[in-house]
Amino acid sequence: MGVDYLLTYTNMFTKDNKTDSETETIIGQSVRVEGNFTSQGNIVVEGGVAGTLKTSGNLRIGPNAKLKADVQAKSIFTSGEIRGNNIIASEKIEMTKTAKIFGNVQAPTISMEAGAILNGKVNMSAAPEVVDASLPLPEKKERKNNK
Amino acid sequence: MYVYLYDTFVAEPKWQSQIARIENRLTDLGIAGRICRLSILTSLEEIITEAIKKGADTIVAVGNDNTVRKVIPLVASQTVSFGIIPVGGPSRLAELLGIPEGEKACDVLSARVVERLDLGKVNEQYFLTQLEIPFGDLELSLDNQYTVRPLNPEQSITIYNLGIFSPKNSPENYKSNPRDGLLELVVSGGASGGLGHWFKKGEEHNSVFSLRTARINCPQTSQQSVIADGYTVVNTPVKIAVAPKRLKVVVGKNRAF
Repeated sequence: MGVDYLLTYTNMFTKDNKTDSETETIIGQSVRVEGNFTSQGNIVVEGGVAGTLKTSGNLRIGPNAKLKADVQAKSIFTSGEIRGNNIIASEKIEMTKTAKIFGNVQAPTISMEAGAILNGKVNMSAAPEVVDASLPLPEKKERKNNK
Repeated sequence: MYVYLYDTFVAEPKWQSQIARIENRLTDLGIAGRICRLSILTSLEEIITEAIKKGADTIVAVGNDNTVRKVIPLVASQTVSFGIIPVGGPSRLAELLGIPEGEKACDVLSARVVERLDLGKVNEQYFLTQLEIPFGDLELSLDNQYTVRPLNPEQSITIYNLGIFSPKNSPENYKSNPRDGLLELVVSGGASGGLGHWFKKGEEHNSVFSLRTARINCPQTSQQSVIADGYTVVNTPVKIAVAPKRLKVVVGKNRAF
């Protein structure tokens, strides 16, 4: 784990200063997440994810992480492995030397360190921002049921 | 009108001088009210229902964490405010709400900073702070969207509504905010699963998720105990949800949120 990784990691999680609407998630090495994971805050992935992963915040993928998922985020900083159909960032994708991406990527800015692997189509046109990344509101469901 | 609920142990002689000081302070501040002494023969639910009928606007628990835990489900969803005067300890719940021990709590009560806090709900039980599942082979379904499965059954799972926690792999302390309409799930302890479990012994990789609803099942074993607020035990399978702004509570300036 490089110094750069740690510094950016520290900057991402200052929960005391953040607004209430932001949520932050850490998917550690010792858990596996399956399904449609949607968030409005920053996410750190160090473990396994299968399905889709969508956030309107930043996504940081650790060197031991393995994602078999379509990914969409504001910016993606990856040192791990992503296998998916579409990996989309509305701002930037940054790959370190240990990063592997097998899938099509779309982002206006893409940076790759020597040693990084990218197998797939690259589209550098502006990607849409993740707008509808909110969690479902149980109150709304209840209202529908009452009707 | 203030109604003070004295827990049974408060009647013991060793607390009498402290109770006298509290009563004097309440009189000085002009917030003295009706005192109800709990006993084995009295029903807490009846006392609170009666007090609300008679126009009580603030119900104050005088006692420790157990007293507070008993009163919270009964004042949740009511229009009355809830206050605490910690006596005897442990007083972890009062501490999180910024309420000091003994007669100093009277000043907090008098200042009357009232917050509407979320409560967690496990099956039909409310909890204020956290829900603990010590260990086990569990499957968690969160927000009906995705599942989280700890790879190591030695890991513990805690769901926070109010509290402070420090993930080992994060440089920051997390404060669970009981006003954001969300609960925080923390998977902690134990090394990673698979081969990592053998090669990386001692390393901990905590996980943190925000959620509104959850279902917890034990696919292998029949039941697993879930402990709410360190006191109430519920067995799996459990349904967990956040009950937004359910508790109107008097808080102090040193509160943890």
